[in-house]
Amino acid sequence: MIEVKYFGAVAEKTKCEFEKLSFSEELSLQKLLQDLNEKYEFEALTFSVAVNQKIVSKTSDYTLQTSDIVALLPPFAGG
Amino acid sequence: MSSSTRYNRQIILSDIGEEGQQKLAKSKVLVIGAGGLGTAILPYLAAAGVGEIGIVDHDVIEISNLQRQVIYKTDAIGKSKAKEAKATITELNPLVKVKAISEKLSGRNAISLFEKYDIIVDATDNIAIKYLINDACFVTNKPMVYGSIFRFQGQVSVFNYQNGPTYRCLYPDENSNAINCEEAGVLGVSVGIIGMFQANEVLKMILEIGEVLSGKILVYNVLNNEQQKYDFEKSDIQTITREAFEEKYNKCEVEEVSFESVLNEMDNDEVLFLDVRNTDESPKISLRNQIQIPLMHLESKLENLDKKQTIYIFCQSGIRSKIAFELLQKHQFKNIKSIAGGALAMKQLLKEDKLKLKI
Amino acid sequence: MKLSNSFSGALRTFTYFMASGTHYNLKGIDYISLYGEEPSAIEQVFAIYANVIEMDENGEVLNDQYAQLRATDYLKQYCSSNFLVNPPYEDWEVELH
Repeated sequence: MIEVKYFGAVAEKTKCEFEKLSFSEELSLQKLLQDLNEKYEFEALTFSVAVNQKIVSKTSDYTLQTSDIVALLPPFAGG
Repeated sequence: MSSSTRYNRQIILSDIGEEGQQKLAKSKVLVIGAGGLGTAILPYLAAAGVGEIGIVDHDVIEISNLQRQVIYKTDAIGKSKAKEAKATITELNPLVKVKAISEKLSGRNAISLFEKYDIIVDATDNIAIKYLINDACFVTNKPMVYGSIFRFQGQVSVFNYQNGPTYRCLYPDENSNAINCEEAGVLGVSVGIIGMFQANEVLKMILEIGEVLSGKILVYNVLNNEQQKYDFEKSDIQTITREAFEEKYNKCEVEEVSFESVLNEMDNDEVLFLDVRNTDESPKISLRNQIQIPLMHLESKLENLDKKQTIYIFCQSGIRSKIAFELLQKHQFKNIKSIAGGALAMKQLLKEDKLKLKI
Repeated sequence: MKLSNSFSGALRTFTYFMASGTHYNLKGIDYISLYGEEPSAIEQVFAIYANVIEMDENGEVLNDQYAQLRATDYLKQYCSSNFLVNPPYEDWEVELH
């Protein structure tokens, strides 16, 4: 079971601020992002990805563990 | 009205004291944007006794600003934000030296501006400018206090602090279409809260107290008061040199004119028409004050041209004249324009003009 | 007699890079704007290419890269303020038959 948190414009697409997802085997971060992209159609939305409060710069190299918390952080522009 | 009475309530904090107050008096902070974030930040910096404050904003006050830009008054609508903000914080604390810069921040003024300050505060409302500020901060080695809002959430961080990670390390992809308050909407308090966080970071840095949000981004949700902090690392590839900065932000803008608009200057002795086509090209154009220097020889023949003269450059269709324009501009020619459409357009117009005169 | 497959391949490859705006010898030059605006400049490029290219008796192209270089150098000189083709063109290279 992992938790995914959504912020800003990403949360507007997912229509929720977080969700819990269960997976049977080892889950790569890249696969998770691809699945989420398919599900929510993020398309042109840019965001950075954090796992357990740390931004991951190379999402392709990362394997998730149970109880990891993933966060999708788009840049905000307002001021 | 002595300063020790004014700042008494912070001086008595053991973490600050007279020494801290001195640090504030010596510090110089540039706030870019006197909108929602800026108007929250500025009064607190002035109140705390920051020695010098610069305010950059080319905008004027509009009625829809007053919902969250709380230092402005209704009868100041239409006035310059930078100047009004300066007036307000000067009234609050006349001991602070304030400079109002009613200019748009660009690649041309960013570096020279940033060099005059110690800390740069990003209180802007669009992503492109944040990258510019980031890059100029990197080149001038200044920390950037970042703040931004999306509806009921905000982000705060300090970039490039003591060689720490930058905005690009966090968000390397410049192609974002994030929307600002005008499009997304915002409550005044949200922008005020994030502005407070930013002012707090500025003061922490100057006073050297607490933990600066360097390599950390704070994400705050005003609806449920939840805050998250995410760590991020410096990326070695997200650096920029002075040369790369100039290349990226100060690309030459070619000024084009239509031949129609300069037709009446054809016989003006003060003006020169420069034909950069090869000598075998047609249609031939022979204006009274004209010189032909083929583009490939232009650089070596520049001394034949007067840098102070108004020069209209043309080629066959307006393409090579733009290249000639860039070359001349690089060599400090100031009064130059490229004729759109080139000789092909000119010939047409000259024919029509001749016909008109015959009538 | 028809043109060889070798020539066909060489010509269409050259045409591709001329049409894409990404020919390696013309980096930084916006020559695409010349299409439509100054077709005679483009015409001259292909004339040089066709004049310079050589094939053996089996139709195998022998100097495609060199022909491309001579041809595109024309555009480079045409659009630059500080480039001169070296060695300068001989009449047979630039002739419009």
